[in-house]
Amino acid sequence: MTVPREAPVSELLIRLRQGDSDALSVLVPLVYSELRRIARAYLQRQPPGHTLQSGGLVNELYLKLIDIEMDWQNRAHFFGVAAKVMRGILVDHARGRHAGKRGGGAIRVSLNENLVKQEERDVDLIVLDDCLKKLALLDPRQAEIVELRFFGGLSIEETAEAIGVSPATVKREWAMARTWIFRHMHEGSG
Amino acid sequence: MTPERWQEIKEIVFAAWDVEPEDRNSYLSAACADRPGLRLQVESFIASHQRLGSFIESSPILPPIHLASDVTAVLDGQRVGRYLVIEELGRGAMGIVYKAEDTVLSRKVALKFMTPHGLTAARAPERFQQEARAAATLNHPNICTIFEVGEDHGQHFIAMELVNGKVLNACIPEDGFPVSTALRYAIEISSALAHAHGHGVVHRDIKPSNLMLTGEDRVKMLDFGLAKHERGIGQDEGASLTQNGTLLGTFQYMAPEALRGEKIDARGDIWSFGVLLFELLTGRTPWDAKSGFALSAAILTEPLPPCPANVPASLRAVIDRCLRKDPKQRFADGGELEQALRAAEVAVDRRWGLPRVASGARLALLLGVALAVGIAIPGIRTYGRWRYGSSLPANRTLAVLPFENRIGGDDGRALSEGLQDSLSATLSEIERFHGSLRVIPANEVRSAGVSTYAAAKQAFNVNLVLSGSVVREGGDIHITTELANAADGARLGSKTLSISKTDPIPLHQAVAKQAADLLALSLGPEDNVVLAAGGTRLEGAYEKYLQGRGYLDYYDRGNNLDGAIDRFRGAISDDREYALGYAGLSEAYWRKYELNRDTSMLERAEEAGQRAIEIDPKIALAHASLGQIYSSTGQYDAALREFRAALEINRVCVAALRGMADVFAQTGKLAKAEQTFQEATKLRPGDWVTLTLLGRFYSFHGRYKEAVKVFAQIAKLVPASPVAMANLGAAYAAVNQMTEAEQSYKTSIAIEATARGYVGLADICFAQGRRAEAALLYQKALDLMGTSISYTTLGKLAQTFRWTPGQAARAPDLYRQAADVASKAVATNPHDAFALSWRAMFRIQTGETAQAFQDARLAMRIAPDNVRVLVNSGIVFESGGDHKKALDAIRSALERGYPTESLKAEPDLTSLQNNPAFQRMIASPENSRETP
Repeated sequence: MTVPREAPVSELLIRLRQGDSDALSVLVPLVYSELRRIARAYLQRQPPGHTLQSGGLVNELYLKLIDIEMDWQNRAHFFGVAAKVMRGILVDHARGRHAGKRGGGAIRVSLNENLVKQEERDVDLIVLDDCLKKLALLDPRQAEIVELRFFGGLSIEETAEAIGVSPATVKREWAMARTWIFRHMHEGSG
Repeated sequence: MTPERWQEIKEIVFAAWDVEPEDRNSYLSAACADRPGLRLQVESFIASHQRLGSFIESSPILPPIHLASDVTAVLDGQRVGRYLVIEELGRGAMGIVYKAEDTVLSRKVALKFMTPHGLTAARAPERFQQEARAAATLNHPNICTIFEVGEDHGQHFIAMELVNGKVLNACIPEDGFPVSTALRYAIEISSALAHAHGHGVVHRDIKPSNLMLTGEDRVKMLDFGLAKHERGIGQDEGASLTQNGTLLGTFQYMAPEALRGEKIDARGDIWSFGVLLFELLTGRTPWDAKSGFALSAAILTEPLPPCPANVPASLRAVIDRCLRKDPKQRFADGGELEQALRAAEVAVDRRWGLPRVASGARLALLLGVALAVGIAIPGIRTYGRWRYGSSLPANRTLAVLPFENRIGGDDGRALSEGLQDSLSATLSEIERFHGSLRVIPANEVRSAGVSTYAAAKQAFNVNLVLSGSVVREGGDIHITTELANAADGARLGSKTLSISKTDPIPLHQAVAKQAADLLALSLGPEDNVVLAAGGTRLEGAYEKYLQGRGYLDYYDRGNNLDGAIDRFRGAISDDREYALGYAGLSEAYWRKYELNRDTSMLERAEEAGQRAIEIDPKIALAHASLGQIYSSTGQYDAALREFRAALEINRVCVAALRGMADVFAQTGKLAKAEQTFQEATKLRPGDWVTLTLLGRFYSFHGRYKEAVKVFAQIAKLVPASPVAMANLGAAYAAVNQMTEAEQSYKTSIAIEATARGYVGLADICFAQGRRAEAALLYQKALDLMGTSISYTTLGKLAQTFRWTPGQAARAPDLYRQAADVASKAVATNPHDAFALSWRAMFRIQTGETAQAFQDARLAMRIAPDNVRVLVNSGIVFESGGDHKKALDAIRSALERGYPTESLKAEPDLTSLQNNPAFQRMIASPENSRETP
């Protein structure tokens, strides 16, 4: 089935959910260009410190692209797509800063500032991205779950909806994936 | 590691997680039998998992808060404006509601955010603001109160009263509530609707999921989310925002005209209410069908199915009238509906034999009791019920609870509140003749939000509560007074006084005696002097008087003050010799003067007060009111005389005490003033009028930190008062907490757009150099003032223009106007140091240097400790070239705690900035000392 380029995002999402992979090929570039534009503008407004709070980006995009009432399952798919894009943007941003610093410390992303203790809240995005690539070779589904949860900000239920498994499965795969990445990043083992 | 090996490890780890830790070893032994390498890897994984902590648990992406599943984990602890999000409470089509803590007032609130549906459905921010603005105009016990409409990082939110309780649709029993319960809920809802419709607000989405039952078993209406303001500005816009071709609301509760997509008014709410009442009584809605299409067809065409037989005829008639397909045949609005329900209640009470009274307690003594009470006056029908074997405690501590309003409407509510107020005032006046009696004042009971015996017991540790109800039946009013044990709510006795138009009796006295009798107080002659003071025999006059009192209790909201004046005038036109009516009128006029400084109000206030005392010199409140008037006009000796007279009649007359304290403050007797304020607040800890005066006293004398504390306390007592919030803003501004100040002013404006709120915001803008914004806000404030212009605001606007490039030419004329208005204030009270010091500020700008100096000198002589007066005078001397005098005045202000920050920000003192003496003064630490 071919998808006209001007099809509204919401319709694309419905098709995507119905298994129409062509929808994805239209959706991703569309989401990507918009999100990237919003994110750039957003990141430029950030103070030059070494942390980043990218709050609100995806929400802003969502509100921009989707103009009708939509059930949350479709929204979850949308955020799933956005998560892939966000990962690229954030990692690129981190690399850019890293290069700018010429060998300075790794770029860290501030997680939710109010919740996480200082020592736990900074994660090296570039290393995380590398880990995730390795994890994808071992267990593609886990890598996707990390992408949705971490780079998309999706909840357990939304992640479950986006990849079509049960929340219980997402929960334990997520725990396992976090352990794997943790060991890789901090304990030097796989 | 190969993917295959990984799958193997995963499966064993998952299974190991599922077994209890103590069984884990034996499980692993079995699962990894003969494969020690695998077991090592598995155990190592489990160990790593335990060290994980919250590693990458939360995402750098702000949670999409509008997604429909568990987002709370991430939002918890987030700060939104002044609120700290605690947890999610629920979500609807338009928004998500969180429980949060207001960090300024340290209270729990509910915060509502928009969902993307809410945001995208029809230009949401406007819609959201509109919803909140409409609902914020409402103030009713059965409507969830809106505190603030705010925005943080583009997220719009509403902060509102946190209602503890259950959503009604989860509470309706399968076969409906018992008739009396359903009726009670229905009356509460109709009362809320009457109030909302009276304010031009239509709910548009009444259904059980928008109603809550509180822990006290009262109904709260939530979510005027689809409400549309019928009157006022933006009417057309409002229509398009909600119409939009969409069918809002829930089918089952939607009126036929709503299903057809036509315009909906109050009668649409009446329909939805009818469906709801049917459901409350029967447990099901009248029309039901499998699809939305079939359901709407049924609602549009099928007649109302008959109600079950257990529904009383009077209620069936109400339902029938609500559910007419033609809106014109329904009740016109909530007010009519409420009246009909209250009439139905009387009928139901009759039929079910007064179900509100505990069984076994029904002993009608009829007229015999009336005689025993000593009200041997023709025309009263009074009967009572006593509980056998009950006895009263020796020391009676009593809270008078709000009387149940069974008449309905705002007037009915004012009547109930006035009754509570007047009864507790009278009982507290006779306290001194009965050592064993202590009465908690009505305003304290109200400000603590106490409406049940349990809450009264908890808040005041009373052992008795007095409550009752007011019902109208034909031309008669029935006032029932009930005494109950505060520990368990057991009714100890009740009495009903039936007042008819045709039989004149001394009503105030009769109602008070009824209560005194329940309390087993034996009344002596001195009691009767108090009880009889200033009353009326005319039912109409008495009712209006009580309503006036009720409105006056909340004088700072809406048009309540005009309502009070209107009722008191009505009362005295019914009864020309009604001293209490005149006393109330005097107080109301005085409040009006306080509010807008219209001096003609002062004359009327004085006249009414004098008349009250002429008729009956034994009315403490009349003396207190006169004292306040004299105090406002600078006749301080006369004021003190009246206050003392009031205290002689009633030594716990708080109005007189705080008036005296204010006179002491005005005349520079600071220690005496503070002492008297403390005494008044000790007598009446929850009296926010006294507290406001105390707070103002502190801030005028440089004790800003204490002022902030007091104003924060007031804002907690009366969170829905725009005046209280604006005062809190001013207090914060004085201690340079500009963010909090701005927030408080904005809250004040959100509750009600008043000049005070805008002036406060403008002050902040001016201090921060945002002159253009400041000018706009001052102008907005002046617009709101109408004819009663404030000279300070005029002067501030003039000053703003003077410091705005290109606008300076507009200043002189405004200064002259300001000086004129200030002159009127000085003419009213020649000892008004505040007005004098401001007039000096204006005169110095229009070249009248000599007169300005004279004003400043006089002001400083009258109020040598008032920091505002000192700073104003300093500015005047500096601008007029007398640097030495200027420095002296500024030093005095600094010594009294005036903040150096504010001095530095004062553009009229820039010429001083280079003066070494001034620099030393500002740098010197003892001059910026903090008050204890």
